Amino acid sequence: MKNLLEVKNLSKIYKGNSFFGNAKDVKALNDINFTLKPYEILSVIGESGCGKSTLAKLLIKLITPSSGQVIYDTRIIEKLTKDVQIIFQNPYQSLSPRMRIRDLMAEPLFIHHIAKKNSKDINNRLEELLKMVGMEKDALERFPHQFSGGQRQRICIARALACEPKLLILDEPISSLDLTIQVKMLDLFLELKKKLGLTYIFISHNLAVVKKIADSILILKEGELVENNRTSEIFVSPKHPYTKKLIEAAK
Amino acid sequence: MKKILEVKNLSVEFRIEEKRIEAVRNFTLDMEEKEIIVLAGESGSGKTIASLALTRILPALAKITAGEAYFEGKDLFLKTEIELQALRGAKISYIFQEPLVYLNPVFKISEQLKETIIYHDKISPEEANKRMLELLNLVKIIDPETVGNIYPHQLSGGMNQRVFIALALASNPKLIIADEPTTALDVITEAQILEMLKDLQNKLGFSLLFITHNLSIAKKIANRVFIMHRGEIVESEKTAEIFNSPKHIHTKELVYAYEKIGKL
Ligand SMILES: Nc1ncnc2c1ncn2[C@@H]1O[C@H](COP(=O)(O)OP(=O)(O)OP(=O)(O)O)[C@@H](O)[C@H]1O
Ligand SMILES: Nc1ncnc2c1ncn2[C@@H]1O[C@H](COP(=O)(O)OP(=O)(O)OP(=O)(O)O)[C@@H](O)[C@H]1O
Ligand SMILES: [Mg+2]
Ligand SMILES: [Mg+2]
Repeated sequence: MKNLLEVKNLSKIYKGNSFFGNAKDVKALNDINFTLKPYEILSVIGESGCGKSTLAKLLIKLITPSSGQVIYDTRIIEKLTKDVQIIFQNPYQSLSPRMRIRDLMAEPLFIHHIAKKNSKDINNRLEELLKMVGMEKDALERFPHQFSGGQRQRICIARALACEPKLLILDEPISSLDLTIQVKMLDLFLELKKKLGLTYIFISHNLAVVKKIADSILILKEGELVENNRTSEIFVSPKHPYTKKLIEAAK
Repeated sequence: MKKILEVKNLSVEFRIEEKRIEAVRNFTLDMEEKEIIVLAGESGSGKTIASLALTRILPALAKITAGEAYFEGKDLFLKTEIELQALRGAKISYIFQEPLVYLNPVFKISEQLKETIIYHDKISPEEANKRMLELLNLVKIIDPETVGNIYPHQLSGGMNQRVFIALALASNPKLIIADEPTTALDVITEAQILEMLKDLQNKLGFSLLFITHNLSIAKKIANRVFIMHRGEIVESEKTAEIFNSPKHIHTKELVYAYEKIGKL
């Protein structure tokens, strides 16, 4: 099968910022290479600050790489595309507090010209999306702060799904939720994958979660890719000492 | 064994306009000296509010409506605000989830630590400096002299949490209440912080009330576990019992989540 995504020699250096008095450059990612097949789940794991979110932002072209390429479905990605959507670490920050859920969810439909403003179909579509993530349609008239963390995260997912993406990047989508809700969210991700034929990049620092859902795993340490292999291989015979250390810490 | 903390039938409610929300209901908990207790429960079950009620640092709309609480045998709720102030941050210290919210961003780490030490110990700046380096050493901050001289935002989440723990230790507390101090950290950092807390507890002999929604932490550090649901304690047992034979349905739910994604 063709690759859905190919990442070649991707590097990112954040230029030093004199405002914080530390004008040193930060090498956030260094020469990253990997590929991803359609309908697979790739997990990216590593300690805080290792460059996971930087990788996610590079993949959707929210920031530009210092060098290297991201090739999506055989084309080099130049700008944001509706096919690749992201759900961020903190669901509260990514939902603007003064907008109703209806408007928050419809926004990407207009931006990507999937629907015209005032069209009648929008309402049905939004209700359908909410249903998909297990929420009632009366959520449309409410504001983000009127929901719990888990519900807000579902709304973010519904909004990302509105664009009918092929690749969904999840940047620690459930880390801030309690474990019981996490289990439910994971089931939801797997169900949506089956139903909609999605491919996922799932960023996490919880190895137990990753073990449960990932087909393959990419391990980052201080901006370097230290190991990339099938999930079963990583857990049965980890190669890099750092991988072993991560597995040990999670026991 | 002597009891360090005893809470009986504590209830706390929020009054918002006409509405009353009972965030904590009939909450009963006891803790022996040098014990490590984990208070676990799903999000919104009332863990934080119950712990804040002990020293009355509740949000504005919350009110204690019933119950008793004793610290070292003395009635906490009879204490005046001034007596409580002396207790908070001295014999009872708190560690919270997000240290950056509590560390002052415009002061160097060293200044914040020294200020706290001088406040509690009433010692000279030179002695305070020595004590500060000692504390930073305790929380395993390598090279404390340089780390002390920078600002909170320049440190990683794990390092900030270490500094916050050093602050909590500054007053030689008898009881430390840690509210999800590792939830925002990655697995390696979390494991390091937990191990360090356990070591410190062993060395310094304080009691630790650790709040979390993740039972894997209980497995690693707790003597006993209290399970909370909708404001109430629904089960309390020795740690092994909680995992081997959970009785209450909500304990079972937490153990199930732990079995699924709380451990490898
Ligand atoms: N805009 C920025 N300017 C300068 N440095 C940055 C910027 N964003 C991130 N960094 C630095 O780049 C490195 C990688 O950051 P990144 O956010 O990608 O890490 P992460 O793996 O997502 O961490 P976490 O698990 O804490 O979310 C870190 O050292 C971080 O401080
Ligand atoms: N400032 C507030 N105003 C109104 N209600 C509040 C406030 N703070 C908390 N509550 C309510 O009190 C109840 C208990 O909240 P608490 O913060 O103690 O939960 P928790 O168990 O600590 O949850 P978490 O794991 O999410 O931190 C919840 O139902 C919450 O909605
Ligand atoms: Mg990140
Ligand atoms: Mg809480």
